[in-house]
Amino acid sequence: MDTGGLPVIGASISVKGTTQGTISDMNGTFTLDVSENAVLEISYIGYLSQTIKVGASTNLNIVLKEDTQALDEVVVVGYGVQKKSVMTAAISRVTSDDLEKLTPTRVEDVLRGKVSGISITQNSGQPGTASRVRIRGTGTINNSDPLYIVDGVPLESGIDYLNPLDIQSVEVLKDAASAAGVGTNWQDEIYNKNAPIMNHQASISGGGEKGTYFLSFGYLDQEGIVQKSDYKRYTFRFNNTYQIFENKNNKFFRGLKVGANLGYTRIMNKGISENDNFSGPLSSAIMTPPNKSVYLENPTAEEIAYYDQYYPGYVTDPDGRIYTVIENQEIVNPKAMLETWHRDNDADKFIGTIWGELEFFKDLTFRTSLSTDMAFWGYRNWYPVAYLSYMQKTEKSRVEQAMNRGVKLLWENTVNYKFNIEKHNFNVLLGTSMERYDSKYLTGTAQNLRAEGDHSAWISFTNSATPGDQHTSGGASEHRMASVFGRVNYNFDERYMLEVTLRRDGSSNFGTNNRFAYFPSVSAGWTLTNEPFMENKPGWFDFLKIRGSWGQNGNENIDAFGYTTTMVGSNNYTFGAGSNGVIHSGTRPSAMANPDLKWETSEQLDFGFDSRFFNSALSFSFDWFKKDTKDMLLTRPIPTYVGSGSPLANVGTLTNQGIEFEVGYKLNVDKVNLSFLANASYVKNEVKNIGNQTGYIDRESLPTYGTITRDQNGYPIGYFFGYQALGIFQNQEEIDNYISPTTGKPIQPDAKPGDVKFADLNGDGVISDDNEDRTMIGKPNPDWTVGFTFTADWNGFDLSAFFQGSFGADVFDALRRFELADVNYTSDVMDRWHGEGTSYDMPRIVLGDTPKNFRPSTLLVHDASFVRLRNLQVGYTLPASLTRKAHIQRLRFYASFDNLVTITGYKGMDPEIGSTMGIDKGVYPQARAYTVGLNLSF
Amino acid sequence: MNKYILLCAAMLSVCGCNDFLELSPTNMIIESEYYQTQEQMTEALVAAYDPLKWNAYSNYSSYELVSNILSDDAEAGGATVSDQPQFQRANDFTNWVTPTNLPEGLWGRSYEGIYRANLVIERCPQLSDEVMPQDLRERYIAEAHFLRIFYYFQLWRFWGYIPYYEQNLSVDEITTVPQLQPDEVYEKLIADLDGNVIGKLPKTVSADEKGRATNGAAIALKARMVLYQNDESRMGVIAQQLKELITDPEYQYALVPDYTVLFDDEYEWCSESVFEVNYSEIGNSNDWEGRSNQGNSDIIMLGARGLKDPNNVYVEGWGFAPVTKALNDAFLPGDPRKWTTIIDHAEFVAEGGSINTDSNQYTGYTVRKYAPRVGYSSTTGTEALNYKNNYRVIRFADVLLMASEALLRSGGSVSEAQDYYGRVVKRAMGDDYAVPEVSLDNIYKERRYEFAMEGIRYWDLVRTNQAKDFLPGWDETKKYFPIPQSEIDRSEGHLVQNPYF
Repeated sequence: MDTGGLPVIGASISVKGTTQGTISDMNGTFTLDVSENAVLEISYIGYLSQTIKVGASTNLNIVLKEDTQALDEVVVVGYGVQKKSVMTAAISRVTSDDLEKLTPTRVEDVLRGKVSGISITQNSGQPGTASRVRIRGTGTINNSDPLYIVDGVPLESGIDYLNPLDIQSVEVLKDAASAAGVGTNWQDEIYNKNAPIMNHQASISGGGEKGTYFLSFGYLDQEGIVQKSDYKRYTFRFNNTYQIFENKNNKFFRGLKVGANLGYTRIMNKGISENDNFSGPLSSAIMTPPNKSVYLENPTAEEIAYYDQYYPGYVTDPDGRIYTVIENQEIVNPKAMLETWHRDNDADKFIGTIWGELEFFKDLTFRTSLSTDMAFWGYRNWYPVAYLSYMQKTEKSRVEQAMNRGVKLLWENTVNYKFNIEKHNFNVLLGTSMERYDSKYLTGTAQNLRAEGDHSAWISFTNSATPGDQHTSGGASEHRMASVFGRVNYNFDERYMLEVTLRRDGSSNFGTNNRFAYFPSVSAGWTLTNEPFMENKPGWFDFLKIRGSWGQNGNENIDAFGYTTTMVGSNNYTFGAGSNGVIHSGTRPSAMANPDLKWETSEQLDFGFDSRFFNSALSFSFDWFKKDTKDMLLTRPIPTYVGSGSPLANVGTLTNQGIEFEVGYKLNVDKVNLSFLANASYVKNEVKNIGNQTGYIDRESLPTYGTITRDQNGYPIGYFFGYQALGIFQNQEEIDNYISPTTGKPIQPDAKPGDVKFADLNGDGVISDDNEDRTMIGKPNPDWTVGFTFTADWNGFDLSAFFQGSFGADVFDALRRFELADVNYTSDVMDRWHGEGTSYDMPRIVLGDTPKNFRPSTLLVHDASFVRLRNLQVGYTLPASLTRKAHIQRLRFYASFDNLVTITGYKGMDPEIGSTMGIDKGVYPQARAYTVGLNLSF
Repeated sequence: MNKYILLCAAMLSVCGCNDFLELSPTNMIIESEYYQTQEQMTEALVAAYDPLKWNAYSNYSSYELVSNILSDDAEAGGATVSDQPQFQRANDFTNWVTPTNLPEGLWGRSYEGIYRANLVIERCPQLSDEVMPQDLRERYIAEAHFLRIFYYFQLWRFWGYIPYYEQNLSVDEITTVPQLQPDEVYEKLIADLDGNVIGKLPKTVSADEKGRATNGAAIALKARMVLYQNDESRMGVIAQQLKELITDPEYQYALVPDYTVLFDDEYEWCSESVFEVNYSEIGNSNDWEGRSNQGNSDIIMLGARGLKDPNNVYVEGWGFAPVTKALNDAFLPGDPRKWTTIIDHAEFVAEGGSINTDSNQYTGYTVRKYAPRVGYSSTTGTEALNYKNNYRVIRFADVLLMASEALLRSGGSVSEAQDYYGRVVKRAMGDDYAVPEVSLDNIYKERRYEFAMEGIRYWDLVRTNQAKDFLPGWDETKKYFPIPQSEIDRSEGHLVQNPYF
């Protein structure tokens, strides 16, 4: 048992000098037939090993102590585990103990702020939405999401199926050497006052000499803080291993172990559209003027007749109250809009692996595994007849259904051989991997529901006799990858370490010219504290290892057939007069072909050190890294006079460099255990070469604002591009005195007091509409991301507080649509200029913004730095002696608070705008959540 | 030992498999396997017609709408002064378009049309007679030439100094394509029309082929070009060619006696129709990007904002291209073309309707010819995108007036010129009307009444040197739009800005 009196299951007991051995069972007990002189060696991962002489007693009580040194801590790497002490790569780890302290509903919640170098921004607070995860900066312009590998299976379709409480540990592989273990695949992701979240989890685990098992069930029900958005998830997991036979006496075929990891998840959610300033309930809620009421209050007969004639199909709530129709192009009565919204999504996901490991020669193991990631997902959306506004009306009710199926199969084989020559330890791994992904989909829409209602809104229940009322589409796609790889690990006396890896990856996304590519990596480390000259090191200095690595990974995450060009349809034209009119179909090539398309490469260099002091109470790690992404896969912009679509090409280079720290300190004061953990990382992101002549590509532009973000050589990715606002003209004199040195005339002669003073950057005496007077006015990615965790426990009580901060990111406020006249402003407009000296940063408001005070400028860019108390949790665990009487191993009560406090200067809804690179168009804000719960284990 | 070396080798060899990684598309064809059959050639030809209807493409780039806004027939309009700034600029010659703020979509849609037409021209001759009969091939090729010339015609008028190619560019040729002067473009297009189109297209097409290019359309297009260029050397030739359209019975062109019905749905492809862009409501489109719409998205733009019609004939729209008072006042009393062209808001309100008066550049008049009407759009797709009103690109009335003008300018028969001019006048004003004596000035005045809000007025003003008189701020430097800056950048500096800018 351990120091807490709990049985240790699966500990390994071997009789020294023989091949006899066993494993402790579920109660922590074992039986061996040995002589009195036998010496037992007992070991278990995470605990200090013990050597015990049997002696005369027939019953032994052995207590294992936790290994606080973490020297033997084992880390999961690509294709196996390694002891952390001899690893040379930059890896951070979060374990299930850390996980327990949070109340995560999603896996990304778990990693946030715990690990340096990871930036996790919430894409939105809508239940079920993924976060944007970036490891060491934004790596590429197309898709920077990291690769998630669960129990050895790279995930195709997202990580949200996973119940975070099922996770034993999460390793984040940050540098190229660590990531070189696998091929890089990538994949994509009106408020309720008190939206409840229910999260239940139950699991059983056990094991014995022959095998181990783990079984768990989970249920999550989260209601969104905006109405009509919620999320339900059921998870089931069953993992087991089984030792078919083991005979250490054989020369060949010494042992065969098999196992299976199976998981099933079902997700059901309702969603709303978000981060869209053109339309959508969130932005409508902001932009609809407050002088309009939600409902028609006590409408007269004339008013109802007016609505009947001009707004046929106007929306009422379930009690029959009529929602006011607000005519403002796409901006409508947001409650009416939500009333008409019926969107249901569901997904079933099954991930499984079966594997077998055969040790057929001493220290030579062959492992094969077959994995699958099967997902079935779809939606059913329906729209009743409704008149929201002239631009948003549904004249015929409509239902849309979609069903998708995607299956990934992965077959991996590895051979691993360990051998030592005196103090030289080698581990050689060779392997192959083949993967295929097949998906198909079917969608349909139909008009004219026979009856409107959630239960009956299906395609077959429509009256779609008119041709064109029904429409179906369907298709299939495939993707294949194949790889060969090898890795050699070498260490000398656990002092000097070296790892060399080489992969050859092939993808179906490239043509025969460049299908395969080689990706090498190398890393080295030196544990100084194991050196003989360090024998007399001071007692408080425990451990120091310095390490470095260099490596390359490939990216092929683009649509298929980029190397050739495919024909696309729907280039149709009607021939025929009147009732003879028939739409004829037309076909053309989709784009120019590029047969030389090849892998995108990410190359990373890393140096760092890990250190520990005071008996591992204090730990400190530091890393410097530089990551270059070369040959980025982008559509290469070509002039439109070519008349065809741009080809995909390898253009451009992007660099991220920076530093990371992790500091941890643990101490015990009387019976109180305290720990502090802090991490910080700084990333500088720069586009080195965008790959074209002009040196820039305009990224995002909004109606009326024009281009607002750019990728440009020498600048951070997606930076905000606009005018510099120098202040507000307070009186006519200031306008007259704002003279250009070049022309001698006023630069803004048409301005009036209260208008914005813009900088004339190119000095031509005019604030022009083209790009000459624009410059960099902000950037969406932060400079520093920090996390700080404080935990304390005393006598069964535990407390943890976790802060997260981000500094240096900006947000562009794109909430308003200026071309519309009757749109609401946010409350900061109350401080606008209305006389001399009344405001220096908010101009006068003019209908239609004729003076163009709201051009994209520094006025619309805000600092989105923030510090957030992401989670605060207090808990109490009943004494084991008490609970054991009820056969309960552990009972803990807790209360947890998410997003309790946010300190930020940003006045918008939420400074974390993950999804559209820092542009706030009506983002779904994150909620403050209060949770109470209990953990119970038997 | 040997056993496991073999095992490793076996594993490794499995993955070297190139075939495993070689996929062919499940629901697509690769270009190298296309253009092999008559059906595929037809699809290619249809794709070349497609850009004719792209009015919602890239910020509402419509040839007719922009032409109207450039002229003194209409202002820009919209909700506020910042609605569609590229239109506001095109309307105001004192605050003119810039290389980064102009109706750029006109450039892109034209070149896509040219690219697709070239594909037909290049690939069609490669088919053998068994696959596609020779006369059909030749008709397709002639149609593709016509379309290419039509797209270049628009580029030539709007921009002038344009990259010109008759075979699609390869990746290397992107930065070496010749950029021609306007006069050079003109000569190329005339040569192309004469050599490859005129005489090779049918004179008439059956009811289910309406929309396809005809010989009459080609001749009328040539006449428009010659007149815009003021090419005196060709006036005689086009006068003769236009006369064919008027006198040859095979063409069956005739004026519709009642002008007021010309723009109704029942009168699409009537006897007066020489070339139209064919729109339909049956596409039920929801595509705001504009390419796959089968409907005419200009129609909703031309409707008055907030219009409520108790008679349920007209529907409200977005208030673009509001008609100028000058146009309203230019018509002579008793001219039914005034009512057909313009909805007078004062009259409309007097009859019980209502209209918002606070839209941008509100004039009190909007167009009636192409106003959105009840029953003209789809009920299932997005209404704004599915109006079926065809644009009447060339009407027989224009053939008559162009013939009249060409005869006068080439020293041809004045009596014939009088006859053709008189037909147009009398159709509008009545058979008893005293038709004035034909002269170039009278023809130009008549063109204004006849083609108001049809995208013709601006080009007439420019070619007759009257632009500076009717358009405040207009001068020779405004004759051509600047080349879009993004095009110059993406051509890596190969394209040169037009000298006027």
